[in-house]
Amino acid sequence: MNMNWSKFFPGAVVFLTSLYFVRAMIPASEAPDGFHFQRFGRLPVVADGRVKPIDSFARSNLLAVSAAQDYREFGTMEDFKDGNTKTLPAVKWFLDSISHSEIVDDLLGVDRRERPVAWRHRVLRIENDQVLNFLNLELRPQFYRYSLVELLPRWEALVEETQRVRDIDHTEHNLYEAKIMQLEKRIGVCLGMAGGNVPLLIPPRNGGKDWQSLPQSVQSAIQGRAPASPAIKLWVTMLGSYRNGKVEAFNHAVDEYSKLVADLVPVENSRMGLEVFYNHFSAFKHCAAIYGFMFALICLSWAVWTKPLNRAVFWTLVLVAVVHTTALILRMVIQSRPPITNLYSTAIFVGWASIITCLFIEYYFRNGLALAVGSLVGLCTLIIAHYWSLDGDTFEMMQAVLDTNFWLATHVTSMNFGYSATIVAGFMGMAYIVLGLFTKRLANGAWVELGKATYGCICLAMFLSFIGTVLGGIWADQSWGRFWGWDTKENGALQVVLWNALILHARWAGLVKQRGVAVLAVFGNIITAWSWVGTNQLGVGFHAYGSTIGTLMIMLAFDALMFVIMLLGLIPLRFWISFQPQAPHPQAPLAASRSQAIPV
Amino acid sequence: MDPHPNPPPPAASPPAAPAGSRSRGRHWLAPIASLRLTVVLFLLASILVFYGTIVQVDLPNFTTVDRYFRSFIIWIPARTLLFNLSQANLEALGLANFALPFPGGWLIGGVMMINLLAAHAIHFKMSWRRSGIVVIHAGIVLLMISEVITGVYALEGHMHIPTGTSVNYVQHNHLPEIVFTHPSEKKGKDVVAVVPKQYLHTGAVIDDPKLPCTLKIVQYMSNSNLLEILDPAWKNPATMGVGLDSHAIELPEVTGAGMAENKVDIPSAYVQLVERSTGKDLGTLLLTIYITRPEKITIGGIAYDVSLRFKRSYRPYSIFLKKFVHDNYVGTSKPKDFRAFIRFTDPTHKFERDDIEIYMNHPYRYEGETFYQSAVPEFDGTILQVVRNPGWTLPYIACLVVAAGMIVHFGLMLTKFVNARAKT
Repeated sequence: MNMNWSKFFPGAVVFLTSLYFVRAMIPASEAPDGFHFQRFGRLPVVADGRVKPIDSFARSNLLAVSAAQDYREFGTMEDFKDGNTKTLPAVKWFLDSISHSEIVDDLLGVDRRERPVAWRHRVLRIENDQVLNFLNLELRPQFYRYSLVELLPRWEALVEETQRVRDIDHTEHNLYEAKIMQLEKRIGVCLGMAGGNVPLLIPPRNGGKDWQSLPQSVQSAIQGRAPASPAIKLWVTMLGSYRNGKVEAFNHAVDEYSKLVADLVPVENSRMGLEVFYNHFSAFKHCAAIYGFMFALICLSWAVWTKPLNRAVFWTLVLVAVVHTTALILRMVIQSRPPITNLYSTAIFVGWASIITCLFIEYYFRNGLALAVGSLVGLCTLIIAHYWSLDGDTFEMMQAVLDTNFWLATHVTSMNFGYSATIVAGFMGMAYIVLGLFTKRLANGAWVELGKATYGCICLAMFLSFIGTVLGGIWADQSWGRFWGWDTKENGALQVVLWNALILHARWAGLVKQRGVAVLAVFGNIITAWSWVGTNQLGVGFHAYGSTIGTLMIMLAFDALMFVIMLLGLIPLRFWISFQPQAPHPQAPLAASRSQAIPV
Repeated sequence: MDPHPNPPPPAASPPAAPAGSRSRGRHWLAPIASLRLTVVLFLLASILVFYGTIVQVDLPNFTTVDRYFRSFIIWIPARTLLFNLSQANLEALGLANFALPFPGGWLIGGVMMINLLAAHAIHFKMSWRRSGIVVIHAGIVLLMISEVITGVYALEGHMHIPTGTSVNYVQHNHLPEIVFTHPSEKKGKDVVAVVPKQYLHTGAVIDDPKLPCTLKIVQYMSNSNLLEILDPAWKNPATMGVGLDSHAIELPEVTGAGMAENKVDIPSAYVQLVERSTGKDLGTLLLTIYITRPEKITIGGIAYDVSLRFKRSYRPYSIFLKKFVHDNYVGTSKPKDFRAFIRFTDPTHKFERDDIEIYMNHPYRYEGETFYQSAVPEFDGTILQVVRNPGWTLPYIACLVVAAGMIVHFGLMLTKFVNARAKT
């Protein structure tokens, strides 16, 4: 009986995981007699320099305001605690905002002092208690969201406070002041949604490229500069009937408008469905959840039921890797670009490259260690990616100099693959130290295999980061005439190369052995974090395109953790549980004396 | 990868093998060929690159390159050492004026090169196993040589070309000079005399037979702004020319803080002209880079154009800008594409092409010079960056060489590892 269980268990886990993914893929059906939000969300608009479905626009804005892609509606906080809430799509928030914009008021001829419905939605995320105190609001644990209407009693005070904080140089802001600025930005997004100027709603006619906002388009029609677009009328019908609760008229207008855009902008329109599917699927969120779960399972496998758990995790991770790859390819198709175009996509890509590398390593060693490393790196990178996605549209357009598929595909990809190999090596170094010091996991020769895998990863990292760095130089030569300009981002890349070269040469020189390589590889994590994220925080040079305060703090915390692990790694090997007498470490005394000679 | 649990002495690597059989009779080069020295050099290089990165918060990129990477000894200030600590905290620590000497880029790179060459000199032996290593290191040497050639020989300049006009010179933004030319200057031979940057400072008197008169620099401003004169009572040093309507005020020189990559100092000067034979005052001019049209003066019956401008290097060719296109992403002012359509003419080589487009990542190369789309100017036209770097092809070759070496070396290791696995 037991025998059968362990045979079927891996298959069962893989099956349940695939069910989980399939469920995430299938969109919830909409009631035929309700507003057709999904069809509406598929309509193309222009924002951030590209044509995108309303669904994407609404989600990325709600994410910026609320740190979530949907919002919840409920009566009182008591209802919330009882779970008596209704989850609504970002598109509804968008409709509630824009259907009360000034231009719609004017076109419908209604009183413009009526407050948008969206002002009553609790979407503004505020978790700082000082900010809440200032606003005379109570902390809402596990929810943290407030409506614009709830801010109104302290509105003028808030405006003054914002003005005061804005006059302080942003580098000197304390946490409270930074949060005030964040709140201002979030309120700005909410108000902007109800302004009617973003996104651009009216598509061009006769194959042109110029989209217009509703107010612009109406203006030029009134002034007779251009004949009124048929889109204006349909938009007014859609927004007006939505505002007045006329379901049928709204749905009919959405259908009519779908036909119109299919006619006016057929190429762009045909891509909308795929992007809406991508948004709905939220594949990376689900991948992150499974990575976390698999990491827990693999840790469990070291205590009990090693073989079946190992097999289950391996095959489940293969499945997650397939989903991760598919989602990455979807991004590439939607953007018509190589995988990496901005900071967000580097995290997605580094996670992907790490899991693929780890699955290969596991295929050779079959001891579960690479699975632990792969699932942990996958989880961490996708969490970082989620954090970076809060900045807005993850498909944002690029600086003109970056607008080249060839170099994005070669330099950027190999550079980030190099980062990922360095990180995998670093996490293997961490595994070597933590598992060797505190568990028996590395006894019986497992340490040899882990050491070999780390070494292999460092060789791969050396190769990829060198190629990536030099390709970057060639790109620079092509675009501004300097192969190497000692620009901050270039220097960061060079440091990854130098560090990998240092580890390899130190090993070849006999200065370090497996444990020393592990300690140095952990420091490689710090260098990678610096090169990948830290150099963007400096705010100088050609590559300064992604910088946020929180990222820097997370990076410093990560660095501190790495230092602690390196220090642990320097504890003499005779104290390591894996290398206790019953499992003699063939080189323990030698390695200990050697590694103390390392200049680190 | 290595199948042995204990990594063997580095037979697969060039330098001194402490336990190896070959090192019994120690070669005289052994100490400088040491692999341990290599590791130390990597560490020093890594530290240098790190500080050369964070110091760019305070210094412009080109100054950093000169001071940190293209020098032998550098002084790292305490502020940089302590990760851009604020001045107040430095004073509290009593470190405000502290700086740490550290080996610079030339020194570390030079020793690295010697270390590498010495290692290969001692251990050179042709075999499949070592071929990858030799090739990789040959590529690295090539790469280092290319950086030296760039550091020593590369020249950069700009061509500012308004739409519909033709330009036949390159200008150098860090080299202002006062120039006397014959009116309607077309080529380098129309230039009568040049006063280069090193003579331009307040109080300087320049008397050279090539100049039609003596020059006294009343005031020189390395960076300046040009304003309209509003107060008629203001004591104007200028007695003729544009200086009667406008005056220059001094600005601090551009530092590298923030995004200053494209900022340039714009100098201005008040210059008094004195007749050489009689010492008679001929008047004082305001010369400034802001005004491209030269001042017209007549000395001894000969007409001259005088101007302060960035150093020009005349070229045998000329570039005519037909049009400049500048596209934005839909619905934004974020630039998507800049593109200059030019006609390139070189009568000395009887060369003419009418269909050249220069845009992002697509430079044009001609006779050892490369033309890049550099920036969108405030005037209607384009700014091309012109670079002459005799070593520009080396990185391309080096990259291929190192990549080939790494594929051979790591490929051999991997196949060995996979084969060893397959047998067990």
